[in-house]
Amino acid sequence: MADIKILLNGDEVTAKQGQTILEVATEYGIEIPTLCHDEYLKPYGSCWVCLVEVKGAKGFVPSCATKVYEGMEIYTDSEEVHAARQMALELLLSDHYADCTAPCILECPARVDVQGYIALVNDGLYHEAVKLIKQRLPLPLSVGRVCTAFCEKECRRQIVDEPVAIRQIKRYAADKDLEDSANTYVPECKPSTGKEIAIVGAGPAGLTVAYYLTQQGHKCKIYEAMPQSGGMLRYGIPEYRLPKEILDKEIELITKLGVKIHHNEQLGRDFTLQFLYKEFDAVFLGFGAWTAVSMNIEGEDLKGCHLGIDFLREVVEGKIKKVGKNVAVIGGGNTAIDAARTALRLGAEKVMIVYRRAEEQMPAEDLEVKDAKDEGVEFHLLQNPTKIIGKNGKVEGMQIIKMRLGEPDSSGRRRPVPIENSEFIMQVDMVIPAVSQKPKTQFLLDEIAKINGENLNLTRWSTLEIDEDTMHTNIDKIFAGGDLTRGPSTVVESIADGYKAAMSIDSFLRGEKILPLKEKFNSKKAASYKELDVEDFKEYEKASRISSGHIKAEDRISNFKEVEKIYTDKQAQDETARCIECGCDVNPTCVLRKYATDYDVIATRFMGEVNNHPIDKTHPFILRDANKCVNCGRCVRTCLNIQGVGALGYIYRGFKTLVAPDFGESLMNTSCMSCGKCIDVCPVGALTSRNTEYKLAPLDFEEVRTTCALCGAGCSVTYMKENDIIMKAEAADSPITGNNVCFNAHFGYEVLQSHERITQPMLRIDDQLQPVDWDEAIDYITDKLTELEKNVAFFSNGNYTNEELYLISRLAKQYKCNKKFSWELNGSVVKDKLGISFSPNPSADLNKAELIVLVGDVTHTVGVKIMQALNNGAKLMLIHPDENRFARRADFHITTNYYIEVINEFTKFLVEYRHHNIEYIARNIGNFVDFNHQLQHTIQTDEFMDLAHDLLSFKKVIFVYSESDLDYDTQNAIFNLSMLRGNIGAEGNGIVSCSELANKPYMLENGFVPVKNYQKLKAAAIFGEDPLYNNKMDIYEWLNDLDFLLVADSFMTETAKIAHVVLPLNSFIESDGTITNDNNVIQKVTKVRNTVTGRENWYLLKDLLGLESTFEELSNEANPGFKSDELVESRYIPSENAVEKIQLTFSHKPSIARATLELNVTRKKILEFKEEMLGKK
Amino acid sequence: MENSVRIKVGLASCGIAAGGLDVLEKVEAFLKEHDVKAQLDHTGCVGMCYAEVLMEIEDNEFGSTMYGYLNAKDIDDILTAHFIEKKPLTEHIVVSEKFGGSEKEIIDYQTRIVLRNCGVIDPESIDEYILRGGYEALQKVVKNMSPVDVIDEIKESGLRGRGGAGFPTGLKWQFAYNNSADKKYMICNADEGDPGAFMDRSVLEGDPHNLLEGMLIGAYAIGSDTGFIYCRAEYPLAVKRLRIAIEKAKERGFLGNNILGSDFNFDLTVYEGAGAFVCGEETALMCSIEGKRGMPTLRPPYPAESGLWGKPSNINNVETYSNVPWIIRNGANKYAEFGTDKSKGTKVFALTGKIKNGGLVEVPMGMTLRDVIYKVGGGIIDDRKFKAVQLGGPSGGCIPESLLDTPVDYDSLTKTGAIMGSGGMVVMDDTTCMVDMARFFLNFTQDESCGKCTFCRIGTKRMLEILNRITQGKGEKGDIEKLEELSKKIIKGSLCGLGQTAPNPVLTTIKYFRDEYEAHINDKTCPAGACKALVKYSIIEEKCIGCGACKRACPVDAISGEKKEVHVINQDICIKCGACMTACKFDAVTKS
Repeated sequence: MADIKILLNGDEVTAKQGQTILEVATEYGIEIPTLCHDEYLKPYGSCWVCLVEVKGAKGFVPSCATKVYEGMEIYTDSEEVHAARQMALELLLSDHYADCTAPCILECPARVDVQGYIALVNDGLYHEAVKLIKQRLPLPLSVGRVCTAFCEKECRRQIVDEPVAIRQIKRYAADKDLEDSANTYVPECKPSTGKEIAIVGAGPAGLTVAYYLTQQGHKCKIYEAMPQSGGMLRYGIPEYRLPKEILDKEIELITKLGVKIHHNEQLGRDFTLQFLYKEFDAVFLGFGAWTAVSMNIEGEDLKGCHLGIDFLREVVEGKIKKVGKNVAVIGGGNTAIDAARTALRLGAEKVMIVYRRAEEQMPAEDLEVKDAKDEGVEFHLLQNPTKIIGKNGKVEGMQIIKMRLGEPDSSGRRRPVPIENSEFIMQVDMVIPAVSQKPKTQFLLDEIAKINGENLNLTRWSTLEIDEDTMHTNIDKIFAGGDLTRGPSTVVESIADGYKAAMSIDSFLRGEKILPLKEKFNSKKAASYKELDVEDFKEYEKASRISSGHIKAEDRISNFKEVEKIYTDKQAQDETARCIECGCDVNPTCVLRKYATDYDVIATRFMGEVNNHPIDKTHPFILRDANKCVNCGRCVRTCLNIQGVGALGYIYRGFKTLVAPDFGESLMNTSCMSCGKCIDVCPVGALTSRNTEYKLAPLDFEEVRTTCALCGAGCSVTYMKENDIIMKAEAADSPITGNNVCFNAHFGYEVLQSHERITQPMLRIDDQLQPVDWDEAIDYITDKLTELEKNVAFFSNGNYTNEELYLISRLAKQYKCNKKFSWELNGSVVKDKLGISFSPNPSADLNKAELIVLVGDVTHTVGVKIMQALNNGAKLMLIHPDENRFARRADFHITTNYYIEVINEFTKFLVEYRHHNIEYIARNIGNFVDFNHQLQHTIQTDEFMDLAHDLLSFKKVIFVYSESDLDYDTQNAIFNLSMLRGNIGAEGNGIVSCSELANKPYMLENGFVPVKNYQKLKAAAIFGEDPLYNNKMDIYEWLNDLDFLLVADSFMTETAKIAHVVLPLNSFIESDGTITNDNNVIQKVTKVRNTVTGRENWYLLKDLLGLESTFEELSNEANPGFKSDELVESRYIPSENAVEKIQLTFSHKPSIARATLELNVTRKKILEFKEEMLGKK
Repeated sequence: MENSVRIKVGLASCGIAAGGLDVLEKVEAFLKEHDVKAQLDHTGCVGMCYAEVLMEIEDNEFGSTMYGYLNAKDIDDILTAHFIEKKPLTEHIVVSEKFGGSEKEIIDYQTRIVLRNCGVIDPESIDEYILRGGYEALQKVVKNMSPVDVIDEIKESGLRGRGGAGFPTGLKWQFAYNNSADKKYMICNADEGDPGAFMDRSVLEGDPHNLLEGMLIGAYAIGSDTGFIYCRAEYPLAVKRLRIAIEKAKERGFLGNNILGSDFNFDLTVYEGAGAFVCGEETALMCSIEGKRGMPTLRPPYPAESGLWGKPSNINNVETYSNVPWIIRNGANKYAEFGTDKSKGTKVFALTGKIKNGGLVEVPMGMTLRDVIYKVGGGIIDDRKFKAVQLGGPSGGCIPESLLDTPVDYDSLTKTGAIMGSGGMVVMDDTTCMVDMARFFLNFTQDESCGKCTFCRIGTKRMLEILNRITQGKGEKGDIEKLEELSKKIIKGSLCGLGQTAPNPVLTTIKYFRDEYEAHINDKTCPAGACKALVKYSIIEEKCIGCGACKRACPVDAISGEKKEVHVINQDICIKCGACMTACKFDAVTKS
């Protein structure tokens, strides 16, 4: 293509004729957003997000679809373009009835990924859950016990019944993580930066700052005024809610990272702010709000009157061990409840809470109130003390006035108003006013606290003034957070502050500008669950919230034992299952969300009517949520034009236009093949993967790319996993197979990680297969093979790597056994005639043919390549009895079961009309005259004459078939026809063969042959085959009579059940190695998850062989000269001076083509699973 | 021919709807009873839809006499007077050589090229078409002209596409001709979908052979052997007559193989569309013929490069093709005599709305809008005040009174913000609310959007919501600007004409009637009194005599009042239907 010059944003650049603006821009590093473009599909131009300006054009121009021309003047990021893209996104989002992020996460001040860790706990992955929690919250052991759970207040589950018990789940995960101490999550820390930070206060905020900054490689030193760490967690929250032992362990996990805590060192008393400012690179102040606020009434100085937070602290310090008989606690917050319950535990006979408003207005947690009531705390509501009465300097009683509720105040709560003349006296001997706290900060205004002549700014509530987005104070190096800046608040809010401060401090230390944490764009269905339609939640069955249970009230009021119990595993399972997963599964990768963030989209700018579609959950593997669809049509076009299925289309018109299966019905009522490609191409979350076994969530899964070893295509696939569990999969880009997979790779892994897998060697003892250890099994086998030397037949299928097949062959050789079979091998004509083990033409030749003649069924991926060739203009002649997916694309469809007859007729016409290549025949074929003579017996019918003419009129013709589908004779007939045309292996001319059997070329090269004459053999070693599939009696009798039968497999097959010894094998997702596809391309297979057998296949085989080689050595032996980056399909090239000419064989027996396919075990299992799931059985 | 009498009854859709079949029956009975020898025929629409049922009598006595506004019950009297008493009832005559007639002047203003046979011949008779010079042009072309000659002739005539955009027809054919592909398609867009437009239907129903001949000439010119007429299924009579015409043309050798003995072959199929407005867009139309969902595709490639099934294709609409035979027969120069410098020939308009003579007219390009509306159209119903005319259907724009002297040609109309479009002309008087009118058209385009492009699918919906709000008195400050902003992006960011023009009615009404928008938004009033939510019906005490007519007319029992006492409308119940106002004979009900 010729080079042309264009102006791109004012710069002259070179482009190629025929390129689109998008392609050129991408080449020059300009990112143009697009939703509907797909490089495997024709330009479509529906989303208009990729629009650009072209000088002279009438409107905007979709860059994905517009080709460049000489002198074109393009602007990709003008103000106008930016505004238009922003509007396009805003319009799309105005009809996007969906949540990016679950409300629980958005409600959490620390933005903990609640949905994510609930899913992980449900999947049994609590270490991973804690790892996820600790990305935002380093104290889950404590917070899991004491959090006020903002998350639960917006939990959508309460639309169905009750909110999910999120806090308890967090505690469960954290406790389990700690319990399995060998694997307790500990984050990795980056190498030291040499920077040092001073943190004042070892409470939640300070500990959080230290936790995250230490991970960034900064050294953290905490100064703590109290003798122990934890701040309010230790001194404000009683033991029975948060045992000190747990808190100690939690803090230990932080100090283990290298954080140093200096106790009994108080700012302003033991050291100055100037000292910190001078000695450290940054300072974080988080020393809390420890000064109790008094009520300012008479008698607060009497003995027996303790302020709430001081009371709790002194109890922890051991200063208060005894309380009065009748104790009154004043206030309605958590501190008041804590003080009341503590007093009870210290022996008070009667504890009363006196609160001036009603119960609904109490700020304390409902659960706390309930627990207190259960324990016998009395609640005196709408009452307010006016003075404390004393005698001899000691508390004796309290004068109280009754209240009623008036008009709402600024906080929205109804204001309590005293009822005149309602005073009465309450007899008490101890009073604990617990109304509020504030930080002690006045000393910061002292001259000595000045930094460069400046004091830190305080607010009128004595808190420290900060920039709330960055936690930065008015002094450059100093940051602050927690109760010190907020006044008394919750642990999780302090932690949120700490995280934010840590990020700011890190930026500061790296010399970067301190910016607020930018949150990604979040689409929301509604501001609150209260606005949602209950109807939309009807699908969920009611299931009550599970309580972990409390120690009985009578057993707890006399001690400080932890009241709340931990979930059992079953309870945790059941409770996490209640989560209805509000956040979008693909929010980390969603393109719409990314662009909305990039373009600072305002979601509400074009608010209006929203289409609310039901979510289609009928398909077991594909979740279809049309509410998220942006009508880009990539799924529609991929399904129809690439997969050839057309399960999806557009319905309705105007604003209601919708991508959906025909008539808007379930995907299950379509011809969907469940290949999952629609999921892969969806730029948003309208089509997502489902997993029948595990709960998915929008997590950053670990991705491992490997080659699928379930058929001969050799598709590249990326598995996404958490720990050892594959959660989902998608097609990976490959120069060989494009970007394509079928059901097997996309969803078949579920079978491979099922519990049906066998994991231990088994030996037949007393006619029972019994587990034995590896050595015993190996010794037994070695003995038997030695004993039966030369007499053992080896069987294998192709689902094993080249390395494994190499070792199996070597094992056969070591014991002088020369019979190597595969039931799945169908006989290969090209192997016999041309001596090649692979397809004569590369599959890429399909794209170069003018006519493709497709005989029978082919593998999914070859089918896709055919579709692509047809899209590029090739014609299709289909020879197949059914109206399959190719039928509607076929230019000629010959519906027959008798393939050979049709092909022979074509061959006869070929010769008759002198289209055969006489020169080629003379040079390469030894028996043409003879063959032609036999050919003349073929009956010629007029109805095929026109078709034959059509066929012969094309210059470039590729015949395609699967060796697994066609019997030998049919393959041979096709071979004859192609040979007489005289161009097998020529570009765009010849034969593309494929196979359902993986690794076929390697098997053929290593001497595996179709099974024949096996009956006389006395012993067999079978790898991965199950000849008893389909209940074949003759094979059963033979197998049963064998002197020795070894079966190595991943599943307990029918054959394995009668073996003398069974070896468990790993599947390809648990193996490293290489595999050869139908076109002789060797590709790497990468281990995705750990072995299920505890021993890799190659290692087991090596042991059987008694070798000491390494894997690398064996791999080199298996594939001499293999280079992993050389991915080229092989091509048959006829030798110039062949010594021996090819002898054609005439296939004449009238046959119904279609060989019986011997399914290998793994594929059979996957197929059964698919059918079962789709309900087609 | 001495005593030949011929009677033709207009039986296009409009005629049938007005009772044409009853009239026909009466005429038949009369002729039988009185033994009058006359040939009784059907004919298509003559254009005076407002005057249907129409019946033309041709005899030696009076020449051509056309009676209009007919009822079946009038027939006996009229025919008795005409044939027996030989004193035709002139009050029923609309056009006559001898008697003038009430509508003669209107007919005289027109120039009929496309409609020349409509209402004149029996559309189901190929002979009548041939008698009036039909298929002469085809003979001329096939026998004496090369394709290039034909293309040159069309180019010279200055004929531009009558579908809306006005692309030069000759040039379009040239592009298709230049393509050397083995297969080319000739397509007629007969998917007339604009609300208020029925030009194409009239030709299809009244003179189908004219279209066939035009397509044949085009096919010959570009080298196509296969054609499709994509006709909307809502035109069953048109489809039926087209099929009859195709059948007959085949019988006579005008269609099929070796046409008129030459080696020119052409096969033609009628394809019925399923009623999607967007299928009038050429790429969507081709998708639809291919059996796919009618959704526009990217251009380029243009149809002349890659159209139907990837083959070069030429698409013109019915009216464009219908000009062709006349041009060939009479010569390009003769055609170019009509019209203006850049817009040659005539244009058919469908006059609807608040106009006296609603129907079809064909006028030379360049006539002013004022003349079309007042002279040809007879002015505004009830002689109310003209307010605006909406041209080009939902894709067009409205033109206010100040621009009434704009000549009707492509370029002048485009300058006003409206477009020629396919020829729909909706006339509005002072009772029409322009915001509501814009809302009506946008509602139509929004419903008919194929849903592909983001701006069109969602943008028009949001505009519609804003307009709905405004007409309900819930408009907010900034709404007009928001409408303009959305309009601008929708026009620039849509693939096909539907989206690119959908905001036109809104933009032109904002341009010319911004004060009406502001009145709705700021004062919560509808100056035209058309927006129900902003209207209040009340009874003027002084005028009400307590007759109870309004009370009886009210469908929701919102009016109360004793006999002979002043009645009152309960505003909470009132649905603002206006029935009371119509019922009141004393003008006691007012609208404010």
